[in-house]
Amino acid sequence: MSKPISNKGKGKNKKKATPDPVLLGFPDGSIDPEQDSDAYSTKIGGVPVWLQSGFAPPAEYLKCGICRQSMYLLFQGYVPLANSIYHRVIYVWACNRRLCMRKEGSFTVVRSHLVDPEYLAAHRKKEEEKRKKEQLKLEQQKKAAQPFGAFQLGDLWGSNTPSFSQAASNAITTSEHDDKSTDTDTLTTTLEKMTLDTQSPSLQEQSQQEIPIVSFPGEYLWITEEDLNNYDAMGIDMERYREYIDMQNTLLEASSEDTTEEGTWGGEAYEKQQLPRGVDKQFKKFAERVQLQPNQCVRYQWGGIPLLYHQLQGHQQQSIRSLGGNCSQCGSSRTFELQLMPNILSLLPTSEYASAELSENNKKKDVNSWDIGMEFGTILVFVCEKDCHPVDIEQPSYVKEHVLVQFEQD
Amino acid sequence: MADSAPADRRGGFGRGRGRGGRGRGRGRRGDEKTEWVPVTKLGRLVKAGKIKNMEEIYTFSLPVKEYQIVDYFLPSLKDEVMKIMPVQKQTRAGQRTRFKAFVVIGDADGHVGLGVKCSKEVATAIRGAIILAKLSVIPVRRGYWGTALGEPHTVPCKVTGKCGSAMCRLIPAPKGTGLVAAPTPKKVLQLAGITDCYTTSRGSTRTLGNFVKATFAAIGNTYGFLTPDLWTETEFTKGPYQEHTDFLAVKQRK
Repeated sequence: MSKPISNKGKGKNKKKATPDPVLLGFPDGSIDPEQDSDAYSTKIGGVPVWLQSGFAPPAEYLKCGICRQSMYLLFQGYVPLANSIYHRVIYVWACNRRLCMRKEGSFTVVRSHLVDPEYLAAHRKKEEEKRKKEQLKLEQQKKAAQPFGAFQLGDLWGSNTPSFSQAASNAITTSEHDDKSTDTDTLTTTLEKMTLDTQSPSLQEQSQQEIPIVSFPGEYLWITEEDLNNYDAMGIDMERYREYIDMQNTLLEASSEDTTEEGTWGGEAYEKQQLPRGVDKQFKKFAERVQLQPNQCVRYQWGGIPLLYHQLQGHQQQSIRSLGGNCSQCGSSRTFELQLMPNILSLLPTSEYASAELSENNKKKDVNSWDIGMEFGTILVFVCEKDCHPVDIEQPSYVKEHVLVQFEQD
Repeated sequence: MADSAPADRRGGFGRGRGRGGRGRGRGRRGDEKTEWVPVTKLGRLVKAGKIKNMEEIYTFSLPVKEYQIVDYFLPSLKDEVMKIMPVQKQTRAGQRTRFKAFVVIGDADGHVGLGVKCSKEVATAIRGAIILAKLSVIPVRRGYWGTALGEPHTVPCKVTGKCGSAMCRLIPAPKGTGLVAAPTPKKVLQLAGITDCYTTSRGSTRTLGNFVKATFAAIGNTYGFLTPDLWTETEFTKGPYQEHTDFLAVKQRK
């Protein structure tokens, strides 16, 4: 029998009977570069906007792990979780060099938190009420345990009871006071810290000095649920084959009657389909699913099942639950949250920007460069299951999460 | 549960605080199905117009993973269902019947494809076979029987193809002969664009699945045969993409 109080906060951990539907992100109009300053918008390309302006992640996060050049922002999404007091944003960066592809370190994903004061106040109030309730309960239990223990004549006229209630109310008021004072204390100290620390290289200064910001032109994303209703047609007009389809039942009967067919088409057996080089069954499923809504750029499903680009191979062949590994900060396991689709490569001018960079360096080579810049099949993002916040609650945080990139195979 | 949290927080992903989902562009949903959005490198190159025709893909032997690429270059492909036949598998609970569809596709001008798909329903089998046929489109080399007069009309030399025990041999024929073949390979040769041809076959041609595949293999061998006019040295150019270099220099094609 669990107490009613302890169940309240655990709504998130309850297993749901049906998983959340998959949310898709579609391109929704390009972003005017001057207006690209909203930390709460969901977009591909563009410039990263931090939750707390001036407080950027460490400069190392924005550099490619292989060539040490600055990476381009691929995706920024505002993804708050239910029952969380934090604003939550996920950034995905990628290096735009073909040589860095298919190696670790060319894609980075960072999850950022900033506490929302209203939610924090509400959360704290809830906690306060909880505490009050528990205290009252304890008092009542104590009272019940000693009904006549400290009985004295004088007590009946309220020398004990008022003292109890007074003690309780005192406790409450003092605790409230404490909270308020601690609130203001932490706020003032952090404010003081921010102004006093001009000598040591603070995070925001570092990032602005060392890394040149490069970016693609941005595009807003419009979010909606996945619609799987048109699964049948898939672009081929089946009316031409109506007679064959109608033959289905007659064929069934015919086959069950005579097993040895003479003359023409006898002796056929089930054969597995011959797929061309580089195509496996999982890729076929991927292509079919994407084809239903071909403009999709992002698929979102917290704790869901990713749509793989091809079958996992080698050391990655494990259950999808354990693909993400464990969180680097708190050690809990990681869960799938979202994946980026190849349509992003069709929308963002990756090869133009890569060739522009190259022609500055190699002017003598006359190139008809077709295939430079970044490439991927799909990018899977795994985040900490518990959505940990490794620093003080008031501070914004940046946590590097796990990214699994699937490329095309030959 | 969180009774104090406002309702708009639950949306997650861009819907929180009403700022993420901008709600524009709803009118664009209509054209979603007709447009093809590529999912592979080659698809993106084709869509961007960097590849001029199917022959460039054949030159570099690039694997075609999306059938829309073939549709893009060869819109006039005609497909033909050769046969739907039920095949059976013995299971503990009796026999399980599936349908096997053979589809041949071609534009009667030098491109053919063959697709075989097995499925529980006829419609699925046909659809899958059409897609597989498009993915397997190969070029057909045609030549002359005698004088090089007019357009090529027959196979350039004697070619043969084998599948299982069925063997099919194609022999050049003079203009006006027509296709001297059994009905099944005749259909394949018509779709390939070969107007005149003698054929010889051997083996169990009753297993027409194997026979069709043998004919298809024979047609594919027309470009695999080294004839004296191909003796000149080819200048190898690098393909449109290679895995381990930055970029590639590709000679400008006329």
